[in-house]
Amino acid sequence: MAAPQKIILAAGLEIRDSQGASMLQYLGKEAQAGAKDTWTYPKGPVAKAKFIIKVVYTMDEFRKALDEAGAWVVYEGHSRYGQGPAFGDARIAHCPPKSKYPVNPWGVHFRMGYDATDSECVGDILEHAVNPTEFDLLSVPKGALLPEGLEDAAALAAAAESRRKKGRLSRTERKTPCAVVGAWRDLKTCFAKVAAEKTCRGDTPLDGRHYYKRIPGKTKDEFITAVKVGRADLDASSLKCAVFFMPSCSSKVHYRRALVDRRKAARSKCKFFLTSSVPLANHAVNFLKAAFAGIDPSTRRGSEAFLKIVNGEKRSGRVRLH
Amino acid sequence: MPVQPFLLEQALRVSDEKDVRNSPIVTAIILQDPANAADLVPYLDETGSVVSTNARRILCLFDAAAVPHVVTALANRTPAARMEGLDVIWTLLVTETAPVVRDTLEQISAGLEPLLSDRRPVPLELPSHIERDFVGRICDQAFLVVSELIDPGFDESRFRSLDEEGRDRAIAQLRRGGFGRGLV
Repeated sequence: MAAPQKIILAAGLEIRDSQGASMLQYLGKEAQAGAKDTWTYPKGPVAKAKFIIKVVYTMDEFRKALDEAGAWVVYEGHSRYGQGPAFGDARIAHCPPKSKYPVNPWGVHFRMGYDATDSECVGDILEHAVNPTEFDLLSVPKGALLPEGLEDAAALAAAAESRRKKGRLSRTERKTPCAVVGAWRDLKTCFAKVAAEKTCRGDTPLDGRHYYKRIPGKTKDEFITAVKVGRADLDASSLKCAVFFMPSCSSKVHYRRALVDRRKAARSKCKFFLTSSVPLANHAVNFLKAAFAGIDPSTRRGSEAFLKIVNGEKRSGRVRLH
Repeated sequence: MPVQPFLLEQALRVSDEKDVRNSPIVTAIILQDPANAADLVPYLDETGSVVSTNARRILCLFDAAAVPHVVTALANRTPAARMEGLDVIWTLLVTETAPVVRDTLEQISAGLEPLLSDRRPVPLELPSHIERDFVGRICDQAFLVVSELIDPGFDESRFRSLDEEGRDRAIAQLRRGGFGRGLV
């Protein structure tokens, strides 16, 4: 009898309380509970198990999962705007208190992205009380790997800065420098009150930060900035897993490039299933259902059948094999 | 072979507990004729209902031959159904070879026009725990689906970062250049 297939389900912070809870409920109903956070399928003697399913909640476990030969790995969690998977305790607040979390788990990521990503000053940095390293759009290192949207933003910021230095701003722009489209602007200079806002942790992470786009809101404006990411964690991975399914917001947009590069460099054969938009479906459950129904996503025919199942669910996030 | 309306209804009413995809009505009758896909599309209007959920699940089991029928049937549908329809088109083509994708897109280019010019916002409320992501309008999503079907590595970050005017220009460029050429 063939060895059971290992499935490792990594549940990211916050999502572990929603989709993750559905996953546990499904496992509780369909599979046989074993050691901590481990199940076998089908129910019955463990010796006859076709699948061993392990649910993990930490970055170290996720890291090991990607390196586990032949494993099928699922990360169901936040993309964190392209900053990387993040893990944490159950029911963690958007602003975890410093007393309990000296290191804010919202700011700790498995790095597997571009050199930088765009993020929100209010919706992310203030909301999660994080302080990501700013990526200076005016001094982009030669050869930096950026998403095209951020490349454009850097070019626009550089052009605005060049016009300013050469005294070529229009009269209106000179009068209202904070309104120069695409300029890399100091938030403190332009919106001092926003820049001075304190998080529940007592920090002022917007102080000294820059933005390149302002999005007016009904109650609060949003300011788009650039933050450093990189791919150091992924580049240390052997990617020996056979399948990696990443149903998190626009995982294809944020992580495809680094994943494909790493697969090539590591001579890995891992198959990636990534989403092109927001997945709201219970995809870890859908993955298990497909596996239990005999679909092997590591094969060509199995991957096709798998895509029909996952994309057949509403708000699938448009999954594709990469 | 056209499917009898009562059989279609019977399949679509299957509860979530039983997977509709295993129903003999689906496997032995509905999926036998790609034209049957058109009969399922109107049910996508019924947002939040089991018939809508089942209609999408069944639609995604067809292959590329059903795409023209789906596109035609989307002509007068609600924004919600159009969004679902775009996801269905995606599913039916995403596993196909590049030549099949291009040929199919060329074949349905007229049918895609109403989708590529639908400026209504995508009816999607993101739950508060989901980070903000690009949603846009129906035409934006149609653009992204077509662009990514043509080029799996298409970097949509540029399109996403444009304002509506810029996205309109990119969509117009795609429409003018034909599918597979002239992408932003």
